[in-house]
Amino acid sequence: METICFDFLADPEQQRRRRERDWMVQAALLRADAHSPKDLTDLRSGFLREQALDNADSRGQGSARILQCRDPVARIGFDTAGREAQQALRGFPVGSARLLLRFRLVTPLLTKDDDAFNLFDNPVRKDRLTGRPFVAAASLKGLAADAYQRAFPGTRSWAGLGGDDPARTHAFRRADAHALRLFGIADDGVQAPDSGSQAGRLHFSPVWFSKVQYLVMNPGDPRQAAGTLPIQFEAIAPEQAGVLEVIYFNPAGMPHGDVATVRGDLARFLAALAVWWPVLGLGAKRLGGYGGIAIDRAELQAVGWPGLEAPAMAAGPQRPTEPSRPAYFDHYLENDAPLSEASFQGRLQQRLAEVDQRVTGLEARRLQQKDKNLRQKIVKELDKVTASRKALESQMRAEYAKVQGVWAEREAWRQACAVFEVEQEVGDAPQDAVIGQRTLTGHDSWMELARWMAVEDDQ
Amino acid sequence: MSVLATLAEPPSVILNLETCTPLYTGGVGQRGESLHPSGLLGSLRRFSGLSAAALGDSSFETRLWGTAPDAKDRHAKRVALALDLGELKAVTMPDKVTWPREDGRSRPGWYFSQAQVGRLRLTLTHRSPTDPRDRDRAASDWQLLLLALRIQIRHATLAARDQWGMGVVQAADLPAVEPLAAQGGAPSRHPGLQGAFFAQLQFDDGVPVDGGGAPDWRKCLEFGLRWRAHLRGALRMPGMDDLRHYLFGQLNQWGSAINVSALHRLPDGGSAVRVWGLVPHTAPARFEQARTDALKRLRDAMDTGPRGRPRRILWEDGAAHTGDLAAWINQLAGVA
Repeated sequence: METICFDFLADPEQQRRRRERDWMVQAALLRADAHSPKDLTDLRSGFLREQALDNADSRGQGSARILQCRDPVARIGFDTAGREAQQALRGFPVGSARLLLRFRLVTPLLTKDDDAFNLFDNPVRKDRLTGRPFVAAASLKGLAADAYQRAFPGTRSWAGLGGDDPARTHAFRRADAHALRLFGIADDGVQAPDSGSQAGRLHFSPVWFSKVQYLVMNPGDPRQAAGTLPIQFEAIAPEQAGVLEVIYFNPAGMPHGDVATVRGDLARFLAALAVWWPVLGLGAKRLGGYGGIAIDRAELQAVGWPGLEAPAMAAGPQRPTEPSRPAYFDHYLENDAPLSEASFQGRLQQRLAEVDQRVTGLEARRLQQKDKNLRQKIVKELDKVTASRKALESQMRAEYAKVQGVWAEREAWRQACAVFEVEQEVGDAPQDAVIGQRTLTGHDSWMELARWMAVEDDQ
Repeated sequence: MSVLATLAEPPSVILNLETCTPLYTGGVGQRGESLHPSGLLGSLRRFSGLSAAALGDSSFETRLWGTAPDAKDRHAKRVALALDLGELKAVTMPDKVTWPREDGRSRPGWYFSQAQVGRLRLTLTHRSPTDPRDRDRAASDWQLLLLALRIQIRHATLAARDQWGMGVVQAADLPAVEPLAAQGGAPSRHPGLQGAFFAQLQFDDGVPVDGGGAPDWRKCLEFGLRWRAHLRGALRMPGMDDLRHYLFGQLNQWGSAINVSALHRLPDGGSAVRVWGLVPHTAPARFEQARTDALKRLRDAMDTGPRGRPRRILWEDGAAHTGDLAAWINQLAGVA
């Protein structure tokens, strides 16, 4: 795993080697070489010339390059939006739902990270472990709540809801049952008679990207009507798709735990995003045109909703397959477990001693035999038995190792079976509570799905 | 009642623009391979601020477009800009445009790289103020922004390197807006439209085209730059060096106050060069006393271009409208 740890930071040779081949390491480390503002400017210019530009000339001019980040996220399962419906929603109560909202970035997305050691003051936020850029789930929830407040502002002005934003948010959500269920409420020290936290039903996941680019902004100086010192920014590059995964946990059986309530909540949530996110964008400087999105696709997966199709990839959870056992498996067991190393050595030596006993017997016969032809036969037999001794030792060691491996596999299988049983028990929904899905594509897809959930289409 | 019955849609204005001359906003390598939001926003912000300054409102720009987070008088943006740049394409500009000068002196010329041509869509969304007491002010700010947008599209330029020919756009449908009522306030001391002039030099001939029928940008740029050099030459008089540098720009000293576009098509098959400027264009102001004479020289020079007189010259000078700048803004915006 490509991580930057303290051991690495303390090893100049490692640093040198990694710097030569990895632009992300360069960006993370070069600042340490700056001992003055001029050093920092020179290092930044050099980095941009070497890493962020194609065919840069001596003046640092060249075409901007899109830089690929390391990509282990999908392999290690961080990107939860890639899960199958069954995997994501198995065990969720009836009415629960999952939205996969795909969009395309149309302008660079700025997500400033708190990385004081980065070469640039404005790096994009990246996962500490993998280096992959992402928009944090908490940021997305905030942006979604902002869109909701604009889409369904209620009858009272925002300023009239309280003295500061936490108090206004509190009052807003108390006044809008949909908002309260969707986003919950944190008391944050708000002094109100009905204060107190309440968990929201929505669960957000990060949105992952893989490419970044460098940008520059040049503030103007009114005294000269010209630019001043350029400010460099790292940005998530446009023309990448992102998928927002939002899961609605429905407390079935509790008040407002019916499917109609969920549909209404999600309809308002999705409609808010559909009409406000494309005009307000995501991330930092979104009102200035950064983080612009174009809506691509909306996918709804839900537990026990009527009118949904079965997912195309609806392979349900399967009982784990039992690992096969070799015929000799039981021979290497003792007290329902593989032999200990000492026990195995004892058995091995016992078998080898049996062979050695045969060798000794044959050797004695060879010495007693006067007939030349018969003595030759005994010598051949001796060779075979001696060779078989080596084969036996190799075979027993291989079988012992195999049994240990199979034993471990079977232990894992037993545990997986136990988990499967529990999941089956928890997830066993009524007959009609299957996981269904509905997928729409195009720039109107989010809004169309919102209308369908609001039951405007079907009635 | 549907749960979506009360859905509030964004109060947005959509501008479908088409480039008349290429758009450029630089980039980290200054190659213009894409259009950057900050470059476009900066020019919209600047021009709307000029319009407000003409009406005596020097705080409009920060009130509408916001301030840095660490500003003392902090304002969030009251307008959101969203861009759809999908129908723009990068075109390669000539590396360098120059020609032998009449005085025989060698001059470096003008350098270009790439720029963007085609269609783009700007969506501007009005974010209503938190406090209802600010709503009237916010509505008048929004009105002025739309008027400024109309003027900028009709008479001025967008984005960067517009002093060298870039940034002329046209719109099929300009945003509808009510005209300004008469205003009594004096112009701000900040640079504003009261110091602006707008000219259009119209020619009978169409624009030169390449083999595919697209504008030949080398020739179009050179046409405009020859006009720029001609106008600059009108200030090449003894004692006018500092003024000339102030108005036409000087590296690391002054940004250009005068913008001269490349040659571009007119709907009637002819062509035009757009010239506009702001004198003075800095804060604090410089050369205020020289403005009248300088603009007269520029206007006179338009009658005798580098390659003949234009068939028609449209000329507007803010100095002629100081008595009623609101009416002039309405006129420039085409809503009078």
